[in-house]
Amino acid sequence: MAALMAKQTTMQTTAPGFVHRALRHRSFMIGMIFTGTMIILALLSLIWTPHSPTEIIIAQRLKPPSLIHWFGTDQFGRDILSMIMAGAQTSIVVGLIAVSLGAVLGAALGLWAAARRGWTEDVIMRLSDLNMAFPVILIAILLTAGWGPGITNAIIALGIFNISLFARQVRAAGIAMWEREFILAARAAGKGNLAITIEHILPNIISVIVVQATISFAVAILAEAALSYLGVGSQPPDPSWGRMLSESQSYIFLTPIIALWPGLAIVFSVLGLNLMGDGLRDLVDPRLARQR
Amino acid sequence: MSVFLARRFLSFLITVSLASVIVFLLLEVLPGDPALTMLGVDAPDSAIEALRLELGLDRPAIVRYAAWIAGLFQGEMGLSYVYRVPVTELIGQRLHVTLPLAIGAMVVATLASLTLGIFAATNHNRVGDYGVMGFSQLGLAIPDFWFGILLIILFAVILHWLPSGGFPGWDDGIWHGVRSLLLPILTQALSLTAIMTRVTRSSVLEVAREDYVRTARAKGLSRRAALWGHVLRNALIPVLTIGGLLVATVVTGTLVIENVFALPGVGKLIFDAISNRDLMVVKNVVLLFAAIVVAVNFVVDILYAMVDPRIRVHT
Repeated sequence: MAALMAKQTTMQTTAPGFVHRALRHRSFMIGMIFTGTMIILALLSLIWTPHSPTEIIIAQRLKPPSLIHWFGTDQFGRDILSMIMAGAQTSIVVGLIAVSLGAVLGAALGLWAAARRGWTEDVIMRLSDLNMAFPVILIAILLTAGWGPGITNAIIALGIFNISLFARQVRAAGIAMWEREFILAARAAGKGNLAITIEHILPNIISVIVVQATISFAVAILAEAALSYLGVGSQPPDPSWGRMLSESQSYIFLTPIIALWPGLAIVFSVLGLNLMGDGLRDLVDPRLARQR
Repeated sequence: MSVFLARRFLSFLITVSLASVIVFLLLEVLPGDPALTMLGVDAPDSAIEALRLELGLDRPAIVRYAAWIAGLFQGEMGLSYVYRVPVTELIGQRLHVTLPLAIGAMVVATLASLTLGIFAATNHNRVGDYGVMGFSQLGLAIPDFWFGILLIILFAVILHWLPSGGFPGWDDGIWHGVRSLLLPILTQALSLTAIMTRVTRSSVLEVAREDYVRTARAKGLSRRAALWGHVLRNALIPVLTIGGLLVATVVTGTLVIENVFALPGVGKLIFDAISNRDLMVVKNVVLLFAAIVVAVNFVVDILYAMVDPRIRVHT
């Protein structure tokens, strides 16, 4: 009985109707297209870019956009389009690791807090409070000052931030779920905390995690760019949108256009992920779905 | 209320203390020898030894930590290794830039977001609403440092109206200082405005649906009178909360913005300190920022509990 009811609640988010509604949701689809484009460009750059993103040709420096170099070249004569494509890899890798860390560890902590309550919950929440005292940029500064600059700092800083974010969200959603009647039924059937968490709580709040992951991914791309811009994120010669912007700033009086492309790439990706996240939230929230 | 206040204050103190332990561990204990971090591996042994003595590294970590905290209580943060002046003095000088920047951004963002949010809510599902929401969606996706660069390109490179960066100080008259802070303030205000506009809009829409607003309208109040007299009053509570929480975002945001516009504020200080390996400055500035973030959260909690008594019962 309990299993059946749990299944029904999950059904709302996984039924074939979901795909149908998703296809008709305008901002979700726009977000999907933007995000898809970014991922495809990043994957493509693994095997092919128009030119080498790292090859320096001084004779070709600061060229305006042309048929050979669609987005022009930078101060070292590198092809900007190729650098943008390769930079997408950095953004995606940082975002993926940081968000996965947060989603897996944070969700585990949040589920644990929701299941145990009491002092376990208190400790987890106080740790999460402490984490709030250190915004991503402060953690990155500390790590860089102590260990020197590197992309790992950005990943760790974002990962830590995400762990507490996911823990909070999942705990809140989990607690609400624990109060539902079908959980009481599962308990009456003799199931333990762990079994209930895995079989009933997690499947029912997975949508919360997925929506948060999408939004967090966007935040991670912005943060990675900012950290790399400040010099505490990815380091040369790894291509990165943030560092391209910081390097381009010295040349804005000569060729302002080179400061345009990396920024547009960031906006495009973040906008895509945010639209997708907002859309997903509409789509998986049955109350909103029914109003539609 | 006093029990709630005491509990919150205790948790504030514990959080700040733990934060100081983390800063100390990450900077002075875990990476190894701070003297080596500061001077680099190529430095002669004698120089490293001298710095070790100067920093008191011959003492155990726990003693150094205690000395640091004791100093903080007396308002002392030690000497900057690079500038050879007290860190408190450095921070004090830099606040002349950072504070006006942060406050200016907060004021601009509040005014802009209230105007836009109320406009969008009163034009719900019409062109104006879509326009404002589109702007806010874009404002969230634009990295602030890039927006700053775009503003520099437009107002400094193309139009020559405003300086592209730097700060002349307040001695040459207020206008010179304000002129250099205009673009940084606008830059910093963008994402804040985007977030607060969304909150204002949804909050006004939500309150406008309440029964008492309908009653007010039924009594014959015009839409406008109901909005100003009944809706806004309650709708602004969540906006204030978010505004309070965003103070933390502003404080850390100045770190980025000051680097975009080469402003000699606290944010520039800390990044220069990182390149100069001036651990004394990094340690104290990071703790200061962390303490500000926690303090702001604490104050928001208290204010919120004063406005909404239900919060007190639940925590």
